[in-house]
Amino acid sequence: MTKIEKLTQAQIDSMPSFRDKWIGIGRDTGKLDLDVAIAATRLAYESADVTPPRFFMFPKGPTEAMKFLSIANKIKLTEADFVKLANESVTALTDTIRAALVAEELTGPVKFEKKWPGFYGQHEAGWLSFYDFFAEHFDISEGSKGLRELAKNAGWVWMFGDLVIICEKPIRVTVNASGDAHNEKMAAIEYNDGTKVYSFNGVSLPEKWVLERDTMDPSEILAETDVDKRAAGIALYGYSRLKHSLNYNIVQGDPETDIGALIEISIPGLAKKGRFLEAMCPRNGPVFLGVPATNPWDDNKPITNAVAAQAFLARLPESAYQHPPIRT
Amino acid sequence: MMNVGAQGELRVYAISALPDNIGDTRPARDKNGAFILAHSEKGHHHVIGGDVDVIEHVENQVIGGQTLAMRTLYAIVKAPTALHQTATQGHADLMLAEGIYAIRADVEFNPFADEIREVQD
Repeated sequence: MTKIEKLTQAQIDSMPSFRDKWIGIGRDTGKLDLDVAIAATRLAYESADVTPPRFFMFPKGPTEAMKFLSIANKIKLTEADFVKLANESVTALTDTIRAALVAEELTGPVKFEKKWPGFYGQHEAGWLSFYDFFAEHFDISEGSKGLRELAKNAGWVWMFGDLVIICEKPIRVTVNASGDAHNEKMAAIEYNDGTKVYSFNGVSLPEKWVLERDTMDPSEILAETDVDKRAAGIALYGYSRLKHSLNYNIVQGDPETDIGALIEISIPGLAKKGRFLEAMCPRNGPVFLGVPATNPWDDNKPITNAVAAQAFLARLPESAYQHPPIRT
Repeated sequence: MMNVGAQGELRVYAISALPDNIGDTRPARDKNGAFILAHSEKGHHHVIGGDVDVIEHVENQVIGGQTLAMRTLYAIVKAPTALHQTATQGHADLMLAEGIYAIRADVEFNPFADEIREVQD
């Protein structure tokens, strides 16, 4: 094989079809075809020169997968048990573990450790699309075929020596116009085992913010330590509604600018009004960053305007503050 | 020290020379070898790669009875590069010319916990 120096125009023109194909795979909510998933897994092991696994479990989602691991350790099946169940049917091992899980959950919640999968199945679409392109056009990357087939046919996958856990795909994936996971009313991603991911424009949010949006205390959003989540939460809750709910007052400045405004709001449970620098972020839209009454980097001079608030954020005295000429 | 721009919570200042006694601690690198200037739990790190060296200096400051570990990252950029955020819809790249830069994360005040801390995303 010679080195690929250049792509033909036809190959370049085909890239969008690979992109769309793999975005479709990544968002697919179709049913798991057990035989296809098993064959793909075995091929992936063989491609890596590893003896293919003999045993498979098929949880309904990532949470059940982790509970399966917990229960499997607890009920201590022998190798002979595994062999017997595998010979019985393709789902006998899954059914046995699930029955043990159901019985255990009758006595209380099953504790489990979060163990991330070795392979994210359909969610590995990004890099597998690259290999698919070269497999299709140049007949190379045969070694990735098993993983490509598995990604087309499975949710998340935990690969062990002789045992592989293959999750079903999610039952719902909703996205915004940019393709980010997004849903304002329910989980943007949901699995049949109850695993849910709430997301607003690609930012994961607490379930309560979505499901209790109409009744929740918006100061909970402002208490969030992650600024991306805070900004997404404000957008979800409704910017005007948030301002109205918290008795919003501009002390000085213009919140629709880069420098922003020093604002005060009433926060339930806090004796003093909360003071924030509200400014327009090119990425996140309106952002609220807390500021104290005085600037410790400025001999505790009172913060009375937006520039003084910016100086505090930058850990500088107001007199030394320079606003960034470019902000991204 | 001249402010040349900001990317999210990071403010970038051009400086004429490295200060004395900043040590030689390097920040962690990502899988591509770029220095991680601000770590994100979501994986949306602010990184800088290319022909660049970065030294991380942490100074403990006592502010109102609270001890704050204030980080400054010194980037020695030997060829033009970009401050980049590893997110699909991240902050746009901030281009940096050859030179020496001090990069500091913003802080904010949390009125609920009554404390100052670095901004996180």
